Amino acid sequence: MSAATTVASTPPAPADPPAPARGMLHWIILSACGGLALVAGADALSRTGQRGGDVLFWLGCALIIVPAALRMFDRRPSSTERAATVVVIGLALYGVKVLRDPFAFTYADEFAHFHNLQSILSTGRLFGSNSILPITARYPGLESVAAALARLGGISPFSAGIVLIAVARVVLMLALYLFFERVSGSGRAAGLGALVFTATPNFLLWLSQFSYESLALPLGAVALFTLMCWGQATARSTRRRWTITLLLVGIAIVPTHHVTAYALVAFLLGLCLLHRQMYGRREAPWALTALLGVFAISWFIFAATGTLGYLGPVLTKAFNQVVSTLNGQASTRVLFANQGGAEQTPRPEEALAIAGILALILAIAGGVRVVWRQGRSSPLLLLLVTAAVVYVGTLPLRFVPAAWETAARTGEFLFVGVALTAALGLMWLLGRAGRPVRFRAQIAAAAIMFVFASGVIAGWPATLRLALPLVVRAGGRTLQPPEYMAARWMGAHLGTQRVAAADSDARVAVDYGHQVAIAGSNPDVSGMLSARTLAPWRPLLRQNRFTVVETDRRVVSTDVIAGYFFNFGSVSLTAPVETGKFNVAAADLLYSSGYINIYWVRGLW
Amino acid sequence: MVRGLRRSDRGLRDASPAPPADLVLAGALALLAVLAAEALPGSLLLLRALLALPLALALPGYAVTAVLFAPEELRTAERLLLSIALSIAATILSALLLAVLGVHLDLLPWSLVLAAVTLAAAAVAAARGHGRSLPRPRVALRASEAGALIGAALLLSAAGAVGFTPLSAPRGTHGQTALWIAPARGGAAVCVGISSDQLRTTSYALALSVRNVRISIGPVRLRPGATFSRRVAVGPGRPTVSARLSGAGAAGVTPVVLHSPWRVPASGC
Repeated sequence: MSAATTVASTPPAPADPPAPARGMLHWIILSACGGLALVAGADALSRTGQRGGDVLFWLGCALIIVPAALRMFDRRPSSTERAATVVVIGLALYGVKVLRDPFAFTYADEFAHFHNLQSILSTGRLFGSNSILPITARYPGLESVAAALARLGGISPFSAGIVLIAVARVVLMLALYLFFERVSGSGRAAGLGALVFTATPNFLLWLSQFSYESLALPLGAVALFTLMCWGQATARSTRRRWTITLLLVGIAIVPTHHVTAYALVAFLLGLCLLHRQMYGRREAPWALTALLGVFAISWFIFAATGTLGYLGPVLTKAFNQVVSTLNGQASTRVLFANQGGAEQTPRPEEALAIAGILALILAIAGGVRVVWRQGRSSPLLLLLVTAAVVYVGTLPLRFVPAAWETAARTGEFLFVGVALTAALGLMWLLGRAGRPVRFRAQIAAAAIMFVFASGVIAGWPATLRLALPLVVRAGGRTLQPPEYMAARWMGAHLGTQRVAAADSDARVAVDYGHQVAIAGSNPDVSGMLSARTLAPWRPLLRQNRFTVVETDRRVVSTDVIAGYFFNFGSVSLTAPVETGKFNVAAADLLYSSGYINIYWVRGLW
Repeated sequence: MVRGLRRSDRGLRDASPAPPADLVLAGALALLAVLAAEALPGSLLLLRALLALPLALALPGYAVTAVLFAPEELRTAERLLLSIALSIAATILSALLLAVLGVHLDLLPWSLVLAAVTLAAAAVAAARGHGRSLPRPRVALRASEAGALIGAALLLSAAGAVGFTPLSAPRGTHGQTALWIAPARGGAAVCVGISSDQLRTTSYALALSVRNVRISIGPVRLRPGATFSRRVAVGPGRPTVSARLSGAGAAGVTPVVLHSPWRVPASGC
C-alpha cells in the first residue's frame, strides 16, 4: 500500500492557484489593528489604575477573532487568503501580549531565558549557568537565535526576543494551517482549525512569552507539516528530501525544548505503532522516528542530564497528588485560582469559561464522529483525534493543584488534535441543520469567540490579564518598581554575589543586577525568609555560600506572576520579625527602601 | 535547415532552467547582511536591522529549501514556511557548531557561517536548476483596499504610541526611597547614598554616626528617579558606621549600618 493511502490518506494540496477573486484580507487586517488599538487602550487604563479595561480588552479580542472566523467559515476564500488570515490573527494576538509587557519581560520563565540570552551576548558561549531555572541553559536553541538577531541587527536583547517570538508565531500559524489543510484536504477546515487553536488556554499569554516552548512548538508544527508531506510523497526521491527536511527541523527542536522533542518522538512512535496495526510495518516513518529518538536521547546524555531531575519531580508530584485527591487525602484545587490559591476570576467569566469548555467538548464529539465515518483510514488523523479525546480526559486534572500545571502544559500539544477535530465537528454540526449559510457562519464565529474567551479565562488570572505599572512617568523621568532599583544597586556596588531572595526579587536580581540569585524551596530560601529566628538557618547560608540576603516585606514578592510591578493601594506585608532577624552584629544592613532590605551575611558563616 | 529551429532543438531550448535570479539575490543579500551588520553605525539601526536580520530568519532557509525542492514542487506559502523554519534551524545548528569548535559567538564568525551556508546552498540549488526568475512586483489595490490598509497602519501606530509610552502612576502608588552604605575605595571612608523613586520631588536629611560622632548631611532635594551619594571620611580602623534618613519619603526606611570590621567589598561613590 503506497504512502498516499497510509500515513496520509488525502491527496496533496494543489500548486498555487491562479490569482483569486478579491479577498477580504485587507478588512481583516483593519479589524485586527482596531482590536489592538482597543487592547492598547485597555492596558493604558489598567496601567494607570483605572477601571473599564476589561470591556475594551474583550471588545478588542472580538475585533481580532470574529471577522476572521466569519471569513474562514465562508467557502469562497482562496487557500492563500486563508493562510494569510490565520497568520494575521496569530500576529495580532501576539500583539496583545506585547502591549501587556511593552517595556520588559515580566513572566517568571522569561527572566530565566533573558538571563541565558544576556549570558551568551556577554560571554559568547552557550551553556552558561542559570540560578533561576538551571535546565534552560542546557537547551540554548531559543537564546542562540535571539543572540544572533541581537548581534546581526544591533538591537537590544529585549527587542531581539520580541522579534523572534513574532516570527515563531508566524511559523506556528502557517504550519498549523498547511498541516491541517493537507490532513483534512479542506482549506476551510484548516482555517477554522488554526483559529480554534488560538483557544488553547495558554495561547494568548503563556505561548507568547520569551520561552523555549514558544519557539519549539512552532518548529514542532513545521515537523508535523513536513511529516504529512513525507507521507503524501509517492516518489522515493521526493520522500528522501522530505526526510532530510524533517530531520533538519527535528534536530533543531531537540536543543530547543525537552518536552517538545519528546512529544514529537512520542507522536512519531505512536504513528508508527498505529500504522503497523492498521497496515503493517512498511511505509511508516520508523527510520525517522529512530533517528530523532537517538538524537533526543544523545542530547539528554551528553548535554542535558539534568532534564530528568527537572521533569521527574514535577510528574511524580502530579501523579502522587492525583492519587491523593482520588483517595480523598488532599483537597481539590480552586478553579481559576491564582498561584496562591485565591480565587480571582469574576463569576460571569467563570461561567463563560465552563460553557466554552462544554461547547468545545461538543465540537470535539462531532469531529470524532466525522473522522470515524470518513477518515479512519488515516493513522495520522486517528492520532490527532485521539489527542483531542485525551485532552478532554485531562480536564479533570485541573482540580488537582500539582497536576494542574502539568495538564496545562501538555494542553498545547494535545490541542493540535483538538483544533482540527473541533473544526471538523463544528462544520458538521452546523451543516446538519437547514439554516441559510449566513446564519451558520455567524454561529461558527460566535462559537469560536466563545471558546477563545474560555481559553483566555482558564489560562491566566483575570487580575493579571491586563498590563500593570512597570514603568511609570513622574517628574519628567521614568521610574521602575523598588526591586529593580535594588537589583541595579547590587550590580553596581556589590559585583556578582550569591543572593538569597524571594521568588520575584530573585528573578529581577539575576536579570537586572547580574546576581546569582536563588529562591524557592530547594534550597529552602523561602523557609529561611519567612522564619522568625535566624540561628537554624545559618547552615543553609554556609552550605550555599550566600553572601547577600534580600528581604522583602511585600507578600507579593513570593508571587512569580504578579511580583514585578509597582504597588498601589493597600499592600499586604509580612511580619517585621521575619526580615528583622537579620539585624545582628554579624550582618550588615547595606540597603533599605522601606519594603526591601539588603544584608551582607558573609559574617554569619 | 537553418530556417527556424528543429522541433527537437526547440524542445530542448524550452526545457532549459530559468536563470536563478532568486538564488543570486539570496546570495547577494547574505553578503549585504554581513556588511551591514559589520559596518553600519548605530544611527542607522533600522536599516541595519532590515538588512541583517534576514540572514538569521530567511536567507539560509530559502537557499536550503531551494536545494531540496524544485520551484514547482512547493506552493508559495510552503516555501515561505520552510525558508523561515530552516533558517532558524541553521542559526541554532551554526551556534552549536561554533560552540563545539570553541569559537566565540561573536558577530563576524557567526554571520560568516550563516552567509556561507546561504551561498553554498544557493550554488548547489542553482547547479540543480532549482532557481527561479523573479516575478515583477505588482501591487494593484483598489481604493477601498488601500484605504483599509492605511487605516490599519494608523490604528497600529496609535496602539503602539499608547502601548509603548510610559504613563503616570496609578493613584495611591507607593513610591520608594532607598538609603544605602558601602565601604569606599581607597579606605578610611564610606559611601552613603539616597535613591529616590518617589513620584514627586522630596527633601531628605541624612545623619551618619561614627564613633559616637554625628555627621549631618542635607537637606538633599531629589527629583523622582534622582540619586545622591557622598564619600565620607571616617578615620582609620574601619569603625562601625550607621546612617539614618529623615524626611517625607523616609517612612519605613531602616537605618543602614556597616559593622566593624568591614566585610563588604569596597565600592565607588
